Amino acid sequence: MAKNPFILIQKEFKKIAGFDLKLRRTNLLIDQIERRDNLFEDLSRLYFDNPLKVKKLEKSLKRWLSLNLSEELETLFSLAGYVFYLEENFKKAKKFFLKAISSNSDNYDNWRDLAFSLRHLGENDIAYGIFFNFDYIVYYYKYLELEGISYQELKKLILKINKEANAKKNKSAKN
Amino acid sequence: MFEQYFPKIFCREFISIKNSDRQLIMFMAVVLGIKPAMDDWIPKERLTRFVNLCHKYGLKIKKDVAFSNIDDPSIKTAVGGETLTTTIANGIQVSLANPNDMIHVFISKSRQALDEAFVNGWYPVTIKNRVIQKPYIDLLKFGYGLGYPDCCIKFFRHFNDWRRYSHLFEIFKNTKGTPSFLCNPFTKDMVYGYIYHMPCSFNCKKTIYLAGELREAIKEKEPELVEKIDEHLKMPFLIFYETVMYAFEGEIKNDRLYYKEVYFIARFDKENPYQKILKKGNCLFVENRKVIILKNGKRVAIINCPKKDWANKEPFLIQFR
Repeated sequence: MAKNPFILIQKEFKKIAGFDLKLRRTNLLIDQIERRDNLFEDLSRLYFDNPLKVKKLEKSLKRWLSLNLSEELETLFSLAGYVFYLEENFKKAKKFFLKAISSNSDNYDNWRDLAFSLRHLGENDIAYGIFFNFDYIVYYYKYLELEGISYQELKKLILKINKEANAKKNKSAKN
Repeated sequence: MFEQYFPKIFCREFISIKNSDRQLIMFMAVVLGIKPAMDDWIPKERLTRFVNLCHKYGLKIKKDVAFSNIDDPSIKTAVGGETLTTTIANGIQVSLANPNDMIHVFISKSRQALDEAFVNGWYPVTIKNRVIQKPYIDLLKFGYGLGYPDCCIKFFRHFNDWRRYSHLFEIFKNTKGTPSFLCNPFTKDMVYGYIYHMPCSFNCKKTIYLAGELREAIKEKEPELVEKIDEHLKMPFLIFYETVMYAFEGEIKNDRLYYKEVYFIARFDKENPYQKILKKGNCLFVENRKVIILKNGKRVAIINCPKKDWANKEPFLIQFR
């Protein structure tokens, strides 16, 4: 019987990085957890001590992503986002965090990762929009069934939510 | 000792705008072009004055978020509150901030250095009862943006882990030879210090070079200030960990500190557990995680510091030359 390709990816990942690549778990807002896993932090340490290993991961990622594993896509997208973030390719990091959001918009960690990559790209209004209104954004993205919308559309949504939320706060402050 | 200092002329307005001399020396370092960038917190009601001050000295400024309810203990109960170490605050957008909320700002002489510090410089705040921590890699890179030496950043990466290490004690262990006053970070939250980073050792060559350069440059502008800083940095210190530190008027001889006056020098006065006990004596020494306090040769108190899993207290005595 052929082995599950994700298990092979995990083995290869561990061989390069020296720690496990676990299947990404959803950080639901309701769960009240700051972050679900330490993958980004562990990769940051790896990058700081041995950047070539992260470069190696980037090379393997291309192949892993081409396997089109539907169940594990969010894990691979976020991993790709982290690797490009570490290599300061924030455009690509943003692209993969957006894909991770499309795979699972309920996962707050995907939104936060996107917001920090936007900060590096100078898209501060969108980054702040996510930081300050993450709850509305997670909710409306799902409620309006926006999976797969363009980044331009997403931007509009985030800016609109931010504007409405600020207007509401201003009004309640005046009262 | 440790009274607020007003420079004669150079950067004097900084203190009246902030109502504090905290980070004055770092501001001077940025103005003098020795430090590439810094971040600070300015009350919203005085932000325009601060912007004007920056422009006067040829500095560029970038605003981040506003800090509200600073040090409100209820913030610690937010999701992720256990990850907060020093400053705790609610984050709000600058446009919504109240006049007395503090705006997190970044300043630099160069646009590039300013942007580099800004992108990596998010400071953890709680928003909607959730702590927003930046990616760990940004924390590591931020040190480069602030002009810290590479060796110190690498050391920080390994030892700034409140669960496993007492960072300051690790620096102490890594110090071979006489500690240099130019590497003294303990008074960094007051005006009396030349560095704002944790050095890799208390005689780190790169830190000595950096702080020495700054000292010489300030000496040309404010010689009295330099004299005072040197005097403070060369006092004896008893260190427990980053938020519990004491300076003394006295002298260390044969591993014993003989003292007259005690000053709490960490940032938060509410975390000052030992000043009263220390004042009971006039001599102390450290032995096996215990601080033994004597008065005229007789034991008057002992401070025990058993090993802990968080913010481990590892007491040590040090005097810089």
